[in-house]
Amino acid sequence: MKISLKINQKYEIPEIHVCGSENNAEIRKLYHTVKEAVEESLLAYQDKEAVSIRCGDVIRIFSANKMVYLETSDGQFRIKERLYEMEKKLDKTRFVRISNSEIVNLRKIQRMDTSVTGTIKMYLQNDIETYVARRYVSKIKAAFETYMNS
Amino acid sequence: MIKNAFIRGLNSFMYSIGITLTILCICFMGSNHIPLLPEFASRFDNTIEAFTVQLILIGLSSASLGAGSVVMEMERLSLLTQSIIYFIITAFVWGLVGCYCWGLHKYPLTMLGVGCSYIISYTISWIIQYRICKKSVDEINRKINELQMEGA
Repeated sequence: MKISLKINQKYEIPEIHVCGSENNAEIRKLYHTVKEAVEESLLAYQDKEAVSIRCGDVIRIFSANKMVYLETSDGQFRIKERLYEMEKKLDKTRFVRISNSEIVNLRKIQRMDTSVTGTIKMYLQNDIETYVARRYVSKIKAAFETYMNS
Repeated sequence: MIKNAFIRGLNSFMYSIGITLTILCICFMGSNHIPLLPEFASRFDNTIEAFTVQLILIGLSSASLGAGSVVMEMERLSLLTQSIIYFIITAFVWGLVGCYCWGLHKYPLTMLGVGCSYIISYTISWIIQYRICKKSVDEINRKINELQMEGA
């Protein structure tokens, strides 16, 4: 793999390009790794202390008791934005809404289960379990297809 | 959720009133007849009053169908539980309206037939929804496995 540094005045904003002869798994992984490394962070709060959290570290964002929280492997943090604002802000190819009160990171989903009675459960990293609303199942499927094609 | 239920109930009420009035116009233009059971109409001073009461009751039963649909979005309840709760709410309201407007309780076999067909249509709808959902979840799990293998 070749890594090069180009300095040119035409690049007013720094750019990173991942180049390959075909869109294969290796190229996609490289692209997402670089993207996660330079993406913007979210400002969250824990015990009145402000913390900067990388989007890639977020497992899920959910609303509870009229507040919005995000959860990472380090714990839960409160955020000031509303859930619909976070939905607009986050990368739609990596985050998907699974219910009226929750958005999850696609890369943190481990599996989904449908029980005999029709409950849809989602298992996330860090042994987190949550429920999926049936009307969002098709959107989750579409989000995965978009993510894998991006 | 309550706000959603209220909005859906109100919308359903208005739509059903509109549709029923449209059917009334068509019946009246076609046969000069207002769709009312004579037994029900005899309880009121005039036909217009009877039809208005029937119209409002139909509107209320549609409102219950619309408002009750919020149950189907409570993801923590299973599809089976959601369907049972929704069935109970709608069957209860429809049963009352059917008995009052159309004397359904006087014809036990008819009532049983209507009840059975309602349950059967519910069951079929539930089975279809479950199978569609299961297929989608299986496809999602396949994509998750592909992603995990790429990341490994």
